[in-house]
Amino acid sequence: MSWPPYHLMKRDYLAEAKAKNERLERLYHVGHKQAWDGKQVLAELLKKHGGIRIAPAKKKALAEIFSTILWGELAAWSISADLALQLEDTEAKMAATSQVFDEARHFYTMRDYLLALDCEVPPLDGYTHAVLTELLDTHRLIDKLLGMQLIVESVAVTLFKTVAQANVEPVLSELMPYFERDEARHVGLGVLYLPRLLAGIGPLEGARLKLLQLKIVTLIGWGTHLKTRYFVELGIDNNETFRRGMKLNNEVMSGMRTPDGEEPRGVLVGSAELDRMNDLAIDLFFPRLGSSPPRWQHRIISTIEKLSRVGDRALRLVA
Amino acid sequence: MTARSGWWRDVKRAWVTFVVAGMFVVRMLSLLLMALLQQLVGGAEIRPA
Repeated sequence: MSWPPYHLMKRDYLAEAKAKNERLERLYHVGHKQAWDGKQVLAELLKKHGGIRIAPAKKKALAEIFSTILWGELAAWSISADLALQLEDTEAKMAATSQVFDEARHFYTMRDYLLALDCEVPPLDGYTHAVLTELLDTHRLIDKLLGMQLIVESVAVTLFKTVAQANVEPVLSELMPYFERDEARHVGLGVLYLPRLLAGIGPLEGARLKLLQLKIVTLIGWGTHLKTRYFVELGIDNNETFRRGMKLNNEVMSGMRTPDGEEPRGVLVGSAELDRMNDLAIDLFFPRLGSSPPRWQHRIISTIEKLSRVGDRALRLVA
Repeated sequence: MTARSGWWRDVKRAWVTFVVAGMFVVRMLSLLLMALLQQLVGGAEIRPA
């Protein structure tokens, strides 16, 4: 990197940095204003709907999918606490601190919901375990921000929206928007703060970060295959979910571009070709719910689902 | 933290990386195969971008 950092004296850079710091600080104040009482909200929803009434098969499917969410929230709680400690800028520290409170609330609310569901919560699958422990164990601030704030939180936002719209169970459908609103702020911390960390990285570090992202999205993809039958049981269309996720991902990445339209270094930003490949992959691996895939597609997807169980067992060997 | 636990942690990380790399390769190969079959046989519902 060249020295001195002349950009520190450029007026448009300073104006942009000031605007971003104000937006980071705003995340804290909005988080404080929008804080909700998890115990109270859940109790009210349970009373409103007369408890959780759902068929046993759907109950098990919910438990399978939301065990991932539960432990994900616990991991996010720890990781955001790490961020609050490590981030040096006051405004970013404030935003991360606000997230600690949010994630604590999400964890205990989800725990209470699953207890009310009264269904055995399965152990965490190998894919999710690998993603979460990678982000928990790393000491690198940039990995935590990129992995958790950008990727995992975006997946969470998409999943919460999808579950709410699928109307799987009324208590959960009304609970999800509370989670979704908080998670959107958490993605905002990554979008606002990450570019300044990424600006200083070299090509080797950029390549390492891209590999990290590839690792995480590979794990998320295979983890989804592992749970496909539960998504189907709940009437959740993974094709739609992934498309929604891609759209959100593109918006998030656009938010990280510089005013000159430059893409942040070290981030797997979708080019037009990559987007087309992802669209094709979504339609081939996750055909639309209710569609009739041809026999060759059905067979390959069945094989992939079997392989996902093999991968899960392989990863659990060291979990 | 003992040296042994540090070593074991490295082994676990290496194993996870190995498994994920393998799963990435399998995924890419399956995607290639399915794209080829779609070209040759067709039938899959591919929505416009």
